[in-house]
Amino acid sequence: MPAQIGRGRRPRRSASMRCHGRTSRPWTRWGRIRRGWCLGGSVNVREDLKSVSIRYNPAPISWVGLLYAMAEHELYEPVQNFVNLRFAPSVHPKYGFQYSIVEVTAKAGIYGEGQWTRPDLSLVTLWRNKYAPTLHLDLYGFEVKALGSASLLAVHEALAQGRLLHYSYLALHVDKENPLNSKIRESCRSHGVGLITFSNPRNPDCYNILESAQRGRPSLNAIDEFIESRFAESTRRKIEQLIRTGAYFDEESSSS
Amino acid sequence: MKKVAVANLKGGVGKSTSTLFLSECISLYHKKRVLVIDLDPQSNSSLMFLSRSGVNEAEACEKTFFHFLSSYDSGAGQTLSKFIKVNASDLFEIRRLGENARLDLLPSAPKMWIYETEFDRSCYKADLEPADRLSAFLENKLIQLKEAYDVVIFDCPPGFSTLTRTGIRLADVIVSPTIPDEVSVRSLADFTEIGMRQILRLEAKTKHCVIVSLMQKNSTTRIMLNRLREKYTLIEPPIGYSIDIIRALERIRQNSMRKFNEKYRAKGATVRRLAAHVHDFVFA
Repeated sequence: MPAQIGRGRRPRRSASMRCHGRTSRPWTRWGRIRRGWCLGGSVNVREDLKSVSIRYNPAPISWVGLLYAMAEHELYEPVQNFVNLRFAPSVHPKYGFQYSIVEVTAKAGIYGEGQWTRPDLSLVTLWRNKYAPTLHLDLYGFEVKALGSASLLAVHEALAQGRLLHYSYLALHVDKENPLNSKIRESCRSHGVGLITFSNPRNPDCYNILESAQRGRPSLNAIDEFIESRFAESTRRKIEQLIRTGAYFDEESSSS
Repeated sequence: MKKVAVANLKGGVGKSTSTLFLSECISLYHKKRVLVIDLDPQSNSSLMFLSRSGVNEAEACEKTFFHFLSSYDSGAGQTLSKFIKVNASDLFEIRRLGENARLDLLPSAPKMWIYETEFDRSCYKADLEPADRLSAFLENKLIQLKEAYDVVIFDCPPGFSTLTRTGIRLADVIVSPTIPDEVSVRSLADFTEIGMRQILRLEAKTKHCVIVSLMQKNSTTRIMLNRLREKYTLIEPPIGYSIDIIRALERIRQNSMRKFNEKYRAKGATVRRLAAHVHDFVFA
């Protein structure tokens, strides 16, 4: 995690903002850390690490790449389409059932509940197999980065979000002409963060899953909290209803 | 993205049947990414693609055209992709083609009968044309998927309801399946003259063709076919009514799969030839 502040004291994840400030203030005064901002909230970054993650030289963007350039919030919808049409069906059990829903969660959740806790998009899948009919629930998070804003810091952001999710992915808009910085891919692989790249956001067939995310082990309370605070009420009601029925439907008559 | 409406005034002329084999052949033999939007509340094409249990599942998961329209009312601004059932066809070959060809479906639900009536009422109260509102909304959502699909096929309900008018308004090409008998030909004439020209005032850029997808041979068939050839762009060969076609329309289980030749049997070659001509007409 980039939020590591050196050898000594390190703010615990559950510490309140006041406590966190008291711990980090001396380090800021001594010039060891600086406050950085991103969509998910603020974070203290070790200066030497920051020079690696933020000031690394990004690949130049070609004219072709610029044609597809979009702001990060504009990317949410096309990435959502990719998740609905390609990603969610790819994790569908062959014979069983799956209910999946993806929502924009970049601004959802309780303010001040922690740093980097808001993935841009979240996918919840409720699934069961045909002959091993236990219901499972998986949470996927997608941290979306616009063209030219890929950095190691983004990998760490996705990694941090992984503590609340089963699978954490980084979705990068990349230039078709210029290859992705290998450090980012290596970092994703070593941390178990999934990596998805795309050159044309609007075309779901242009997306490549370069690295698959490793399954995390969030606490059951964290899963409940995540769904309760980030997903729409209608989605939560639907999930509850499916859990109650065991996601079984009457073959003959309409079930809804 | 090309938009095709399969529409006719008369019911039982093979609109859903044509939607099924046209979408499957265009996807499989012309390597196109096809989205079928079932606008018909009878859900016939949804049942043909997904089976009864598949439609039940789609309804339970709130992934139907009805739920998409409900999101319009609630102003939730949901993306269309959320309601699409991916890999709807039971053909092995389409799955095997991977990302080169796809066949997805936005299923229908019988609840759309009720929704349509309510929607019409609210529009007329506000002095608005319901088909205009609905087509503008759907077009706006389809733009998001412009690069995800090559062809969108609307399976329109019979008659000239709001849903049919919406499909026709959005389409670049209208395909009208018909049966070569006196009643169906007269109904087709009403559809083109009154419906398309007088009510919708469609411009000349909207292409229209006629196909014969359920033909029973009798003494008048040849005369009627000649009449259709004279009056419309008739795309041939006609498909004869047979037990093979009836079998092809039935998907017994949601996960059952079969090959193209197993599905269409003796009619496979004719179906493929007709779909190829329709494909050329659409992309000409």
